Amino acid sequence: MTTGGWHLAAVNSRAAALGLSAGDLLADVRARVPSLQTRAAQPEKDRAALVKLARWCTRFSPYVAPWPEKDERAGSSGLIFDITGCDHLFGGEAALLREAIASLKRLGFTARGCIASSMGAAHALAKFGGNFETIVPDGKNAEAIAPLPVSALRIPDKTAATLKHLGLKTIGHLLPLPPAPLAQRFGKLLNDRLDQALGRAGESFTPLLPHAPYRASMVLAEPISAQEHILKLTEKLFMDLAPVLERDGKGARALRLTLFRVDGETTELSIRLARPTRDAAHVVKLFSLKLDALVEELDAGFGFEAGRIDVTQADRMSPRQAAIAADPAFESEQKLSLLIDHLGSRLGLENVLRAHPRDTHIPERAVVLKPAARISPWDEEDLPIRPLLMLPCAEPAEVMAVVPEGPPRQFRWRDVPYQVAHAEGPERIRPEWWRDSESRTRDYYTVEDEDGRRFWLYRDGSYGTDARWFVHGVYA
Amino acid sequence: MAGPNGRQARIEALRQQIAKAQSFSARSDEVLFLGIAEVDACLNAGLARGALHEVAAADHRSIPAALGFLLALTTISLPKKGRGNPCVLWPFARQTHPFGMPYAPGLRFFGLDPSRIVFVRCATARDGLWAMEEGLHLGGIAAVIGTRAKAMDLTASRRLQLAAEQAATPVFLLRNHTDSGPSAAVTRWRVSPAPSTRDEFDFTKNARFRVALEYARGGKTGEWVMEWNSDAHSLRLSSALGDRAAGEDRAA
Repeated sequence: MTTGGWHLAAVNSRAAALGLSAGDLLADVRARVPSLQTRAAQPEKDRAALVKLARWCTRFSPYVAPWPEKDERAGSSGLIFDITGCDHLFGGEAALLREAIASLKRLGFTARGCIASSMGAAHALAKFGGNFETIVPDGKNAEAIAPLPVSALRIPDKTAATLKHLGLKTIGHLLPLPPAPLAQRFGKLLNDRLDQALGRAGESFTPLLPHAPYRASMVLAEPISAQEHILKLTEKLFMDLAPVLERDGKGARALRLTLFRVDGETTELSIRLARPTRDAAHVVKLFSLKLDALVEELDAGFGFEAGRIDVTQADRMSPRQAAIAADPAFESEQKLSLLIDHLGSRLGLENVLRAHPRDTHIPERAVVLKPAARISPWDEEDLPIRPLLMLPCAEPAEVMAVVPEGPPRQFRWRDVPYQVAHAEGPERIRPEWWRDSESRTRDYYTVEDEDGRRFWLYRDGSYGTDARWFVHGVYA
Repeated sequence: MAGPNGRQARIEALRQQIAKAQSFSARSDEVLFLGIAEVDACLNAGLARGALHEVAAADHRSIPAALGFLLALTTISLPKKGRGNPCVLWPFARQTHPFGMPYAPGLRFFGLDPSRIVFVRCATARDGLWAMEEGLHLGGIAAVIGTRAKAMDLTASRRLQLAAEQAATPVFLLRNHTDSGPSAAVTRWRVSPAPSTRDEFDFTKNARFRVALEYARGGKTGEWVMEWNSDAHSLRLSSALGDRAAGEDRAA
């Protein structure tokens, strides 16, 4: 706020027609137009609405963001698109622009758009050009922006006002001037903006959506809302991606499906996979389970009119996949991997686990739980019988009587005394000295009490006064 | 008013009606025989494959034995080798268990291949129930092992039973010994340990359980001492309690 009091943050078309503009002092404006209706500006909500709109606009190009990122003035932001490689999907630049503006109009927005080879020129012409649709041919940026006011260059109001005072009203007036004195008088920014608008200096923006290595999208002739149609669309989109993934030796590990509602809302569904896949049926089934879970919340409104699939993570996947589909083992394997992915999508893939053996004889280290996508075989060799349950930490047992150099005859664990009726052992397990030097040799015994309860006990350290006993596991 | 004969006939008719209402698909391939004539007879000709079965411990300290018997039933229910090699789904709670976690090398004693078990770590009992139901719906598994949460009401139990029936896949739930809630399970067992048997070298060979069949839909209750043969992967009756029991060994 340059001077005290309230200012207009934005005006609608009727107010603009009366000569009002953003930045005017509210008190002055009220005096001129007593019937003026105002609402408090809500820049955060404006911003949020713009982000939402940008999300919806990813149907035209995945690379879109509200722009300029920093508002020089409230409500001055628009949306910037990088349409490289997208226009052909719509039948050319002109068709893309027309479709985008018409779609926004259907949502109730008045939109003006410009396609140009520099962000600065596109912004200047869309905002100040006065036409709803402008396409600047390559290399014609200077001619196109010459008639525009200098404020179209995204320079501070003060600079623009000074330039106007000096009679430099349009960009065309600035173009012939030598850059060095201009920079000296008005700062480096003005020259930078000119260079950016003319495409002499590069400029970039951060798209709202992170980069996805593989994506496919489709705009539908008729809005859809039935789940089966959504799944059909999903299948079609993934079928487009599968050959590309295969060519690159990749498979999808994470996918996001974005559905664009007619009224400007977007719905996103994400799935993660335990193993990379190019199997459309598998992907469709997972999305269908996701949709089943959403059935209450999924609001199709008047329907979805476009969809996109992004492969947000792709991993290497060997080209061989020609397993014998008739094999019942293969079929149940397929079902299982679907189940693993489905459980993982809700509970986290890190919680769907399989036990893997580890090459160690230290019992508590011999097993590790890892995500279930991987399988390690447990060899069939004759191992000693191990307890069914292992305590997370070995618990001290108070041994009351002991066979010399042997198993306990009586012990107390968790405040319950046990009479040992039968014992087997010892099985001596030495510490892995390369891992830790603190541990001592353990002598394990399997002991059974009079009722048939069996425990796996060990004596820590050699027999003697400092030997301590622990219960490590329980048999069934 | 009907006479005593008429009343008898009516009761018989009602009995048949109840039996009909309780009956479930009992085709031979969907029934698991424990291979013990006495027990199979009480079970109304075997254990239904697509059904919910509950195993409870007799007391807190018998929980490991109950789990062992549950695993024995699971192994018996698995298809014989060669017919694919489907997995067992085993959701478990994240919080600690009274006797620790199942130990993969120890599962082999009960005939389960650790690599064929998919464990699902669940934060809540609801997630566990969901995982079991989804597993039954999606298939690709041969059996489900789970814990009956205290919160499981009759509706949840019925849903699980229905899902098991539709999937023709057995669900074995470990039931808390203090849990007296209603359940749709078709069998309910109560287990405590019994002294194990030893081989000729006096090494522990077979685990034994005192097993009470407390409920069997359409069947009868019974009580036995059963022995798990870890080589043959089968259960059999122990002739009598006390043959080769602990006392002998101590005397030896």
